[in-house]
Amino acid sequence: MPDSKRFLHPEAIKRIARLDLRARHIVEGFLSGMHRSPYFGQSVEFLQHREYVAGDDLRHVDWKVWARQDRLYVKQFEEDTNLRCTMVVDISNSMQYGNGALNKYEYAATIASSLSYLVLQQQDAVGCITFDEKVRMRIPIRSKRNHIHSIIESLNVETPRDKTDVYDVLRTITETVPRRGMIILISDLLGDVDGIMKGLKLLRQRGHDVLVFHVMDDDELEFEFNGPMRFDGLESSDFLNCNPRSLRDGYMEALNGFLDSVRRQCAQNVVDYALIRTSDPLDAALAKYLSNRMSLRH
Amino acid sequence: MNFTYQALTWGFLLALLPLLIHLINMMRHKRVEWAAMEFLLASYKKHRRWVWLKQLLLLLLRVFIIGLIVAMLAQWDPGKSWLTRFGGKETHHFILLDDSFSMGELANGNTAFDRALSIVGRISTQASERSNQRFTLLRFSKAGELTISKAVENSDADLSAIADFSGAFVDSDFPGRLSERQKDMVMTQTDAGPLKALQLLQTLAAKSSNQHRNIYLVSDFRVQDWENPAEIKETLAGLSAESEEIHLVDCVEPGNANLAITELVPADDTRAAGVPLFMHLRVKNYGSEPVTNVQVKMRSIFHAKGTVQAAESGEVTGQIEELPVVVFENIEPGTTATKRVQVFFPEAGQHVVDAQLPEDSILTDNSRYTVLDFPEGDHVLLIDGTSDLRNQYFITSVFRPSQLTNTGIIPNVQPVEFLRDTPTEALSKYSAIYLMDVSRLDGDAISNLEQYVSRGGGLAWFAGEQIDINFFNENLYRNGEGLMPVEFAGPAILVPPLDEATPHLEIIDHPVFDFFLNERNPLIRRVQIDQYLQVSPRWKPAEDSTARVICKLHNQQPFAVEQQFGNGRVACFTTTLNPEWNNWGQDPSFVVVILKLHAHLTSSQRILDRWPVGAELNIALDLQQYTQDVTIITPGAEPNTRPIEIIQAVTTDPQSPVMNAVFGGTKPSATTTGTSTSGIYDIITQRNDGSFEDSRYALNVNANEGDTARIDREQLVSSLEPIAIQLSDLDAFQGSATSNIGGTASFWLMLILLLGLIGEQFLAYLLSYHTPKGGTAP
Repeated sequence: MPDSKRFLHPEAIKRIARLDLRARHIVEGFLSGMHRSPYFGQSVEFLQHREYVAGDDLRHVDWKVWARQDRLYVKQFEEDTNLRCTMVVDISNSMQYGNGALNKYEYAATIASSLSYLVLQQQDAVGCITFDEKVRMRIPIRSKRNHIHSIIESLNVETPRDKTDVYDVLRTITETVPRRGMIILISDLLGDVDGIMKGLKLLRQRGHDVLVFHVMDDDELEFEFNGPMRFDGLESSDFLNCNPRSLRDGYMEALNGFLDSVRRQCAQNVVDYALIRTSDPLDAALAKYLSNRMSLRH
Repeated sequence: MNFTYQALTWGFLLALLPLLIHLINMMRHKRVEWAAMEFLLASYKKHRRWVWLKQLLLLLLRVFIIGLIVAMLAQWDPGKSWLTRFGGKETHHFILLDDSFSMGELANGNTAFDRALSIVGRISTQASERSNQRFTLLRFSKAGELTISKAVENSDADLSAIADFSGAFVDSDFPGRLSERQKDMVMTQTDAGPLKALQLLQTLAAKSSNQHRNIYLVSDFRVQDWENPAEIKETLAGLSAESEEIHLVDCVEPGNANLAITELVPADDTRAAGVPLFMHLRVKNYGSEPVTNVQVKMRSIFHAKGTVQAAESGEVTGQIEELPVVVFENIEPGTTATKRVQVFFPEAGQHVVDAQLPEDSILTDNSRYTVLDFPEGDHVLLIDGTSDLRNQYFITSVFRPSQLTNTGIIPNVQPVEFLRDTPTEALSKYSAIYLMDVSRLDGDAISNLEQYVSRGGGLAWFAGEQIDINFFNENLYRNGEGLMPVEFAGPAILVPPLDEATPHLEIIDHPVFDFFLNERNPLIRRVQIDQYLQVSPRWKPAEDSTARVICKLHNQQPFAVEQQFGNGRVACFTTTLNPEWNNWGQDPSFVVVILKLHAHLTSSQRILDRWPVGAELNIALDLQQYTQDVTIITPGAEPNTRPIEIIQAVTTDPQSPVMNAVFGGTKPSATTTGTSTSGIYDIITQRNDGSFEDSRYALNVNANEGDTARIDREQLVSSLEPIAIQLSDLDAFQGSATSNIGGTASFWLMLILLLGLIGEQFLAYLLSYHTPKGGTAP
C-alpha cells in the first residue's frame, strides 16, 4: 500500500474535511460547477447507498429502505460523470527546491493528492500524469474512491529528476486525453514559458478546462539571500558565485517579468492561474483560489 | 616614506589579509542548489561589471584601512607638503654646534666638545620619542664654508654637504645613526664663531617655512664671541620671530686656566744664512691667576736646499735641533710675556722653528710654528742717480762693511736705466730697491717699480740735488695715488734749533727709529741736517691713507715718511745720503737706521707663518718648468708617517704660463684633513727634469680663541633682550618643551580612517556581507 500519508496529510485532509460549510461548499461548488450535477446522471447503474444528509435531493431517497429500516438513505448511481479531472504534476529537478517544511514537489504532490481526494469524494473521476522532460507515469481517470491510492503511488517519486519540457508533455496529453475535462497543471513553470503557453493553448483548443497552479518557493519569490553564496543550477550545469544582495534587484526584475508573462498569457488563453507559495497552508491557498474562481464565474 | 617606529612597518603585510580572506571565502561559499537559475544569470549578466567593481573597491578599501592603521601606529611622517595641506606642522630641531678649538677645554677627563656631543644626542633622543620631527646639525666651522649668498642660491644638496644632518627625518633609529656619525666628528682648530652659523641658519630656516622650529646653540660662550653681540642679536631676533624655542646650552665647566703661545715671529732683523736671528716668543696667560716658571720647549728644524729625492714624508723630516728651554718666570693673568730666542741656520733654505707649552686645559694653542725663509743672500738694488755714484757708497758700506763681515745683504749698484730695462719679474729677486738722488724716471721704470712694490717689494727713496720736484709730484706722488707718500714744495734750509741741545731729528716710535727712543742711545742726537726737501703745505694724507711720518726734523717737517703700497712699503727721506745736506751718513746711527730700515721694508716678505688654520694654499707653478703633480705632506705625529695628498696643478687660463694647485680651505680632501690642523705643511713639486723642490707653510691657530674668559650669563641674557632665549648649562638642559606638534596630522589621518571604515561597511552592506535580522543567512 502506498504511503498515502506522504501527500495526503491527515492534517491537510482533516483541515479540508473540517472546512466550514461555506468552504466545503466552495470546494463542492467548484467541483459541481464543472458539470450539471454530481448526483444526476444518465447511467442507471446502481452504485451504492449513502445515508441521507440535509440538502440531498428527495427524489433519490430510497423509500423502500426507509420503509424497512426506518432510516433515510439515498441511492447513488455510477454515472457517466461530467467531471473528468487530470492532475498533471511536474516532477522535474527544479521541483525539488524548497526551504520550508515542503519543497515544491511535495507541495505540488499534496495539491494533486488533496484535489484528487476531493474529486473522488465527489464521485468524479480523476487521473494523474507525472512528467519531467517527458511523461513519466500516467494514471487513468477513474472515479472509484480507492483510485486515490494509485494516484498517490504515482506521485510517490523518490526524488525528482531531470529537466522540464512542459510543451512536449502537454502536447502528449492533448493527444492522449481525448474527452474534455479539467486539466490541472501543477508546476513551477521554470522552463520555456512560450512552450508552456503553447501547450496550454493546445489544451484549451481541445476544449479542456485548464488550471495552472504555479508553485514557487518563498526563496524564489523573495530572493532574500545574504552573504557570499554559490548557486548551482538544479536542471543545468550552470553555477554562480555571487553576493545575492547585489543581484537581487535584477533577479526580481527578471522574475516579475516571468510571472507577468505567465499571467498575461494564461489570461489570454483563458487558463486559470494561481501562484501558490510553498509557505502558504494548502487549505488556505486552495480556499482563496477557489473563492476567487467562484466569484469570477458568478 | 618615513616612519617613527620602523619596526612596526612590517605590519603592512597585514594589509594582504583582506585579499587572503577574500580568496578563502571564495572557496567557502555556501552552496545552494537553485531552480530559478535563469533569472539569477540574467541579473548577473546585467550587473556583472558593477558588482565586480564594488567588490574590488571593497577589497582595496580594506587593504587601505589596514595600511592606514599600521601607518598611524608606526607614526608615519607624511612630509611637510602633506602636513601643510592637512594643517599640520613638523617640528624641526636646528642644532648649531661649536667646534672651535676653545671647545677642547678639558675638565674631568672630557672636553667641552665631548659634552656638547652628549647634549646633541640627548636632543635627538627626545625628538625620536615624538612624531613628525626633523633634525639639522650644523657645525660652526662648516658654516664658514658657505657664504650667505651661496646659501640663498644653492640647492638643498649643497647645504646637505655642509650640514652633518640637513632636515633629516627623526625615527626611532635616528639616535643610533647620530651616534655613529658623531664618532667621526672632531673638534677643529679653527676660531669659528656663532655668527656665520646663525646667519646660515637664518637662511636655512627661511627655506623651511611652515614648521615649528627649535634652535639650539651649543657652545662655550667665550667673551671674544659674545661681548659685543650686536650682529648675533640681530640674527637671533630674526630667528626668534619664526621659531618656537631658542636654547643656548653652555657645555663648559668653569674655572679652567689656559696659557697660549700667541706669537713666534722673527724680530725685524735682516735674515740671511749664516747670520743669527732673534725670534720673539710671546705667551699669554688667559687664566685668572698668575703662572710661574712656564717652560717652553723650542726646536729648530734645518731643511737643506736641494736634498729632496722623492715625494715622501721621510724626505722632509729635516735636521731637528732642540733649542734651550725658554722659561717665563712669571706671567700675570691677562698679560702677555715675551722672550727673545736666538736661532741660527748655516745655509739657505726654508727652515722651521716651533715652540711647545706644557699641557693645560686647552691643548691646541700650546703649539706655534714658524717657517723662516733664509736666502743665500739678501739682494738689494741700489740706483744712484748721480754720475759719480756718491750716494751708494754709504748704503753699500752698511750692507757690506767688509768682505769678512756678512750681514747677508748683497747690494747691486745699477744705473737709472736699469729700472726701465729690467722687467718686474727680474726685479723680484731684490728684497728692496734704494733710489738715491734720482731726478726722473722713465714711464716704464715707474710702472715696473709700482708693480714691484705692489707685489711686496720694499722701496726707499732719498732726496738729492738732482731731484725734479715737479716730476716727482706729478709722476711719483700723483695726488696720493702714486708710489711716493709725500708731496714736496722744494729744497729748504733747516735752521738750527735755538737750543743747541735739541737734536735735529725728533724720534717717533717706529720700528726703524725706536732703537733711539727714550735716550737709550744718544747717537742720533749728533745728526745734523742742513738742508732738506720741504713738503708741500697742502700735503695732507687722506683719512684712509697709509702714509705717515716716521721721523721729524726739529721744525716738525718730515724727515722720513712711509706708506703701504700694495703688498710693499715705500719710505721716503727728505735729505740726502751723501753729506751734501747733512752729516747723517757719517754718524754711527746711520748704520742702525739703514739696517732697521731694510728690515722694515722687507719684513712683509719674510714672514711665512701668517697662515691661519683652514687657509687655502695656492701653489703657483711655471707651466713650462714643472709637472702637474704636487705632493702635500700634512702635519702628523710621526715624521715618517705623515698624511700625504697628491693634487694636480691646473691652468684655468689657456694663455697663462702659470698653473695652480689649490689645497685646503673649503676644498674637500681625499686622503687628509686639508689644512684643518696647525703645523708645518711641506709641499714637494717636481721639475720637468725630474728634480724635486720643497717648500713649506706654517699654519697656526688663532691664539685669541684660547681665551677661556666666558661671558657672564646675566650679562648675556640682558644683552640679548628682548629675545626670549633659554640659557642653561649641561646639567640643567632639559631639551625642548614642545609637545608633539604632529597631532593635527593624526587628526586628519583618524578622520580618513573613520570615513574609510564607514565606506567599507556601506560597501559591504551593498555587497550583502551583512546579515539582516530575519533574512536568509548563508
